[in-house]
Amino acid sequence: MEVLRLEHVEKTYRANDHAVKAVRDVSFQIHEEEVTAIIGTSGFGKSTLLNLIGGLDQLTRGKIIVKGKEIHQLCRKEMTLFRGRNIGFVFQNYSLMPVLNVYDNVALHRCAGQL
Amino acid sequence: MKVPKSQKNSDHLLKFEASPDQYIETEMEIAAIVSRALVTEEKFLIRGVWKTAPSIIMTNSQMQANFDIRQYKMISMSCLEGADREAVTKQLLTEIQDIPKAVLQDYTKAIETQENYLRQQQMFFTAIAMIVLIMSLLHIMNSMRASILTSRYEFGILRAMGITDSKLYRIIAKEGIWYGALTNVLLLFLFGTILQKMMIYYMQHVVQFLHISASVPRHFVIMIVVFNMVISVLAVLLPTGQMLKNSVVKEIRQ
Repeated sequence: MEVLRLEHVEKTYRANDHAVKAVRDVSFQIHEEEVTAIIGTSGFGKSTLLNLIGGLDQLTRGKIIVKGKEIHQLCRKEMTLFRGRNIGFVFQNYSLMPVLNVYDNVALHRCAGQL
Repeated sequence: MKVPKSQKNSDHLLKFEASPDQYIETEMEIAAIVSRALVTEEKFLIRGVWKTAPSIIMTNSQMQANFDIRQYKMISMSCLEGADREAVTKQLLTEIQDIPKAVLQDYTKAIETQENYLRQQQMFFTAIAMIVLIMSLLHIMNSMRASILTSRYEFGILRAMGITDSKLYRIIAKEGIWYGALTNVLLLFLFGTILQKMMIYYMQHVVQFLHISASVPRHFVIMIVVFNMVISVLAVLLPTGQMLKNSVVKEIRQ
């Protein structure tokens, strides 16, 4: 069963008159129980692509379909709820709460959902 | 103090228009000095007799003992706005000319001077209070803003985990309410111990209110408490709104 599909996904960062294309025309599918590794050199756009799939960033063009739902069509609140219920994300810098211990860091997700 | 020598005082004598040998000097003990400028105003007399002397307020028994005036009375009157004060004064002087032991005193200038002085004092202290208020507001807003913005990384993680904007607002607003409540407790404590005394001192000695209530009206205190709560909540919600404008990725990378 297909859980993720990307169709011609593009992400362009703009600052004043400058535009940088971080992700250019990416398309692939991932099925259930499949392990996929995205590899590339630094600045290749891996983190940007994962941020887009994780619903943390807005794409510029294309489609991202997670479990049959086009996530870029969701409004801000729906996207947040979708992210909370469906996405698990381990950041490059881990993004742990420095004030919490290991148990609380693990349990934080559940607490955040109940808040 | 100079008083008539004879106990059988004529109008002429009481208005200090008789020869100097008709008066004797007596020693009197000062019971109280009134701080209002009214009594030291130099131009309060229509008749140029006691031009530079301060007024002395006497009791009825003193008036009787020193001047043989019984049932001493003072009638206060004020001109309507826009009335010809000079004409009214002249008319009054004419009217009382034949009334024995009657003196006309004009306090209008003195009252104007006094009110102007009070107004200036009030403006000065109100301006100081406003500056202190603005400084406090800026300080509170800035420190709360700094406190929120230094935790943007943690809030970014919570947002990435799926906490909605409204829930985040709720959590932060709760902190603002706590902050407001605790500052209100401190404020009421300081008000009960020091601030109220300071305000009463200000009213008595600076604004020179003669009859002041010993307590600040309750609705005014409630208004300050509510205002403090609103400021505290706004101080945390405004930077939160600013933070939420940024993307989650940007917040986490801070």
